[in-house]
Amino acid sequence: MIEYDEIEQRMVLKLVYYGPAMSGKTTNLLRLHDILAIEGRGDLMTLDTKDDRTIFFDLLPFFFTAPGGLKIKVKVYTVPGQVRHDATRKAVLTRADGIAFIADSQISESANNVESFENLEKNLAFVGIDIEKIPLIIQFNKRDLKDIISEDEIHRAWESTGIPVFMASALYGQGVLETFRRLVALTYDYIDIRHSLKEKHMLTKEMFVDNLARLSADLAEQ
Amino acid sequence: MEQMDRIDFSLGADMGLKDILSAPDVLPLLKAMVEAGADLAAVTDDKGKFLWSEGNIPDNRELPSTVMEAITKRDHKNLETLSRVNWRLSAIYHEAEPIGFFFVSAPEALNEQFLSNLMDTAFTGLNIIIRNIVKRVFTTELHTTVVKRSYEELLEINKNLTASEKKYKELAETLEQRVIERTEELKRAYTRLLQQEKMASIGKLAAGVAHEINNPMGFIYSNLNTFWKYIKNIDEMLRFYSQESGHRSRESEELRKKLKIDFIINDIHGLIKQSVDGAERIKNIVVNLKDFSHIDEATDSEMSINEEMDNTIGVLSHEIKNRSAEIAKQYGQVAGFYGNPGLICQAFLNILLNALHSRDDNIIVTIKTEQHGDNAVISIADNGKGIPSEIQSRIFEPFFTTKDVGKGIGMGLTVTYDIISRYGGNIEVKSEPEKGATFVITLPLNGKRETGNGFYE
Repeated sequence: MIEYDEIEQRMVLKLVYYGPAMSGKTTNLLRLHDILAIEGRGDLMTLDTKDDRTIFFDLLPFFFTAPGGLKIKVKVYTVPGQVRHDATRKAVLTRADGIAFIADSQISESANNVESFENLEKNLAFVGIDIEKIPLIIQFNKRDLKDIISEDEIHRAWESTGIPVFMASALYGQGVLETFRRLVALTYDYIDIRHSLKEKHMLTKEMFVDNLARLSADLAEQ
Repeated sequence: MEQMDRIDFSLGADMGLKDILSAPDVLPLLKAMVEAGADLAAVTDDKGKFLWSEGNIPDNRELPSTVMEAITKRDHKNLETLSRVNWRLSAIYHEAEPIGFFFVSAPEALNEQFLSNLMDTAFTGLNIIIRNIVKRVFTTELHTTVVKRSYEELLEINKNLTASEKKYKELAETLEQRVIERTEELKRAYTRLLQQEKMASIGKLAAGVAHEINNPMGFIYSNLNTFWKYIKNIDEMLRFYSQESGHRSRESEELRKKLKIDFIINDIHGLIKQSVDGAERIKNIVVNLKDFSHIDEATDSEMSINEEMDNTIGVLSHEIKNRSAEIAKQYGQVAGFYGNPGLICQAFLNILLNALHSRDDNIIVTIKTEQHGDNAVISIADNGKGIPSEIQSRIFEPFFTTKDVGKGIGMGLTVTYDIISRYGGNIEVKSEPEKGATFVITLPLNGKRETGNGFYE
């Protein structure tokens, strides 16, 4: 799925924040935009929204050059969560290299989480991506709210799948960076196997993660 | 659907400045800057080469040499610090990647603060233009992708719907016909069962009767022989008396004549011979009946086609005699056939019966058996009126009969056909009007056994 141009020494990666409507996908990107260093990070591009709901997608781009000269662009997208925008979700999901599934912790939203995850499985199959292979993590967002599903229950439900699970409160910036760093790290492993990032481009996992998920200077000092 | 052409959806991948901007987007801005007092305003690519420019354009159409050197060294970080008193430089970013430069220079006389303000204002404007164009491109791309995909999905759905609609329409149209066909099938199956049931009952009855007749016939036959011996003794005694002339008296002679003893002695021989013949015939009929019904052989076994044909003819001997028919047998060497002899006889019987009724007198039925490769070929030909060509294709149909109502139910040849099919064989008929009919049965002698589903299990 990776777009890689050996002659131009360019690689474009696509990470997708998936999940049910209003689970906080855009909020995750907004917080990342706020806390990550400006260097190598682009502006968050929000295509038209309606009543706080994403209609098309949001895009947070990153760009850096590996020591070996490979130019790497990482585009982090959100998809619209509403059921009716399935065609857009499929389009955004095409050629994805990593996925963060943002679930809503509220008990009342459990059914929507399940439905959205099934939709993810279906759409991945549709665009020809093997869910068993693509880097995938899950974030249970909105831990700050009441009437939420317990952590124990979440771990019990997801432990057997081996998918990393994170707790977050994106609105307050909690768990957002951890989620992103893990997604980026998993994506590195996924790409390194086929493109020898370390061997050929002298790009280690630490460098990769740090280039993408580097806290802005004033936050880093705290 | 899954195999639908996958649209390559890589939003705004690798868009350079020239992909994003066009002259009408940029030139008015650059022109306005020159009009505001700038000496040169330019937008360059990421290598520092001018893409669009206004004002005093240098011949080499590139950024000042110090900047060009820094670009070559990839010293992007320090590029913006290269700005000089009379010029300003800003890198243009797209998706966090530097894709070009915005450059403005002014005559030395121009206020430096004014130059900075001019630069900031114009650069902000340029970025807004770029941003909006990129947004528009993304939206358009996404819209096109989604519309195309939705359209293809709709086409696919429409295709499937049309196909299923057609299917149901056809189904509805043929439903009535199929109900009729199925009903016919059921009716036929039911009748076959009835027929089979009937044949089995008749077979059992015949076997039972045959057994019951066999015992009394045994002693009748034996007694007749004994009786004949006794009569011979009595006859001899009487002859002795009549030859002894001395003992002859008028009285005894008169009595002898009165009692027609001479006639009786002569006739008794004929009577007993006739009775013995009759008894023998009864015995044969019983044997044939027993063989035909095969009451002891419910399952398949090895049999001789020729023997079974003889058994069948035996059962029909009364019919044959009644109609003064002639049976010409031309039996060849045929290997043993594996099957249910009762069924095979049944199959032959139905054809023979039809042959015996193929005309009113001078009936000749020619039965030929031979082996062709692995097949037994049995042909039964009559010299009857023949089967009209228009009904030849129907004679194996259940209930098809040319006999008057009540004389036949039209199951005979159907049963024959079923039995032959069951053993993987086939049956054909050749006939011309007034030239008789020939039924040719082919039965595989090995290989296929028990094909069709047996109504005759």
